[in-house]
Amino acid sequence: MLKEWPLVAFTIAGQMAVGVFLLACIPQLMFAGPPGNAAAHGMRLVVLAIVFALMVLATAFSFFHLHHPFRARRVLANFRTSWLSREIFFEIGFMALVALAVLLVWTGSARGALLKGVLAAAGLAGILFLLSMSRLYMLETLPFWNQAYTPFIFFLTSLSLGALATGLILGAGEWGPFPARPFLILAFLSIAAEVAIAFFISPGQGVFGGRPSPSLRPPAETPRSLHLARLAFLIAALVLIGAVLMAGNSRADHDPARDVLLVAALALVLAGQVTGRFLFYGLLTRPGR
Amino acid sequence: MVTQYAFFFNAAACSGCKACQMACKDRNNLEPGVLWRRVYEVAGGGWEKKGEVWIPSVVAYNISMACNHCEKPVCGLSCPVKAIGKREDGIVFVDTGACIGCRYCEWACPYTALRFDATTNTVSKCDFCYDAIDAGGTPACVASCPQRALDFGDLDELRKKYGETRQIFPLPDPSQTDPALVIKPHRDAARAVERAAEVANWEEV
Repeated sequence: MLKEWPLVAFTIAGQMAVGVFLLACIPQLMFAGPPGNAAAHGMRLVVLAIVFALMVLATAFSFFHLHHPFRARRVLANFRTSWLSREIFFEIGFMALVALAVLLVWTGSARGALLKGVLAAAGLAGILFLLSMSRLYMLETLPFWNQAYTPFIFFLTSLSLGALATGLILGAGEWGPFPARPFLILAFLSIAAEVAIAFFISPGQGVFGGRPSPSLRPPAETPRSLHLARLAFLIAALVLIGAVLMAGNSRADHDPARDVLLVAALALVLAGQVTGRFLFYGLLTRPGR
Repeated sequence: MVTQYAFFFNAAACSGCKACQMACKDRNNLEPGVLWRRVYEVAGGGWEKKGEVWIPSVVAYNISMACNHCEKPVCGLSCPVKAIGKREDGIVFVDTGACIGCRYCEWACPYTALRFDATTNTVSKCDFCYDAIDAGGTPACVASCPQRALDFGDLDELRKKYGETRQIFPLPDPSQTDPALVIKPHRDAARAVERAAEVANWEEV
């Protein structure tokens, strides 16, 4: 199970990147108009740079999953039938478009229409990246993964981590016209949805020892304690975000303690996602080595 | 001309001696832990009370399984680098020179036919002993079976000879991949589900 760590890291980093892009970059850059001050311009660069860095990280992690990374140049060869090829195609497309957006914003050469076009295309590529990432696990021959659970969890990971990171970034400075609170509420709701799904749907996924039958696959090797750990991490994050929301968070009374709570919440959500993802991959044991 | 090579497996005749498994390993020089053909021991049941008498209700049989060279090879359809191909005679093969070792095909195949080979860092699987076939020979597993529980040939011919069955417990739904496989079921296979049968030798396969 632990040998799947590159896939765990790749999927989570990639999903987080798309989430941050869709929630932070699209509203800030598409609808906020031209940057009125240096701080707003800086914020735009920071967010885009974070998204790009997450994608670079995700790509780097994915290479650890390959046993012959130097042959990976042919990885788009089977776009016609392989969802893995399609996933990588959209990953590269998303990354390239984000890089272009960074360049446009950084050099200040962004003309409104061009930048908006690049951002819209990147948003679409990001969504297709997430869709193909879910779809590649949803083969008819993989009954554990071929369920609504897979896309739900992948998109909720993107939403919860993206919204929480966006809330943190927006709350940490006087950036622009978008308050952090709606993003924290969105993060709270998506984490709550993930807890509900993990609680109610996961048992049918084999977390409690079930296995699609008949099957020539060995029984899952995932320890049950992982499921409880995942729920504990996510519920603890909910408590922290809930406390921040209850305390109120207008930008006027910016509180460093609030940022500490949100960073802790982000760490807990990440821990929840990592345990949940190990659980996901652990459901399907590879026989042999 | 053969358009789709296939295996026939007679579960009623198989004694579980694993000569086929060993012959395959020997012929293909497979490292420990890599099995292109595996023998699954399926067992279930126990004791059943009928009136005042306890009688055994055990089910037990063996399944010898390799790559089924499916007509719809999900491994090849999933491979991002097209490292898995299908010959004109239906034999599905891995081009280890192109494989990137992502192991996605291992997940995709419901028969767990693809196995990771740590010596080449690629996946590998049964190639139907195609060089022997091309020379007019026989696959090693078929040749080695002392019970004559394995046979091979053109899928249509095997179906005419042995029937249409291609699934017994615990093999997956054949509609997923259209395996080139014909099976003669063991009599216990019909009661395997009701007797909660399970593969009893996971460590070996």
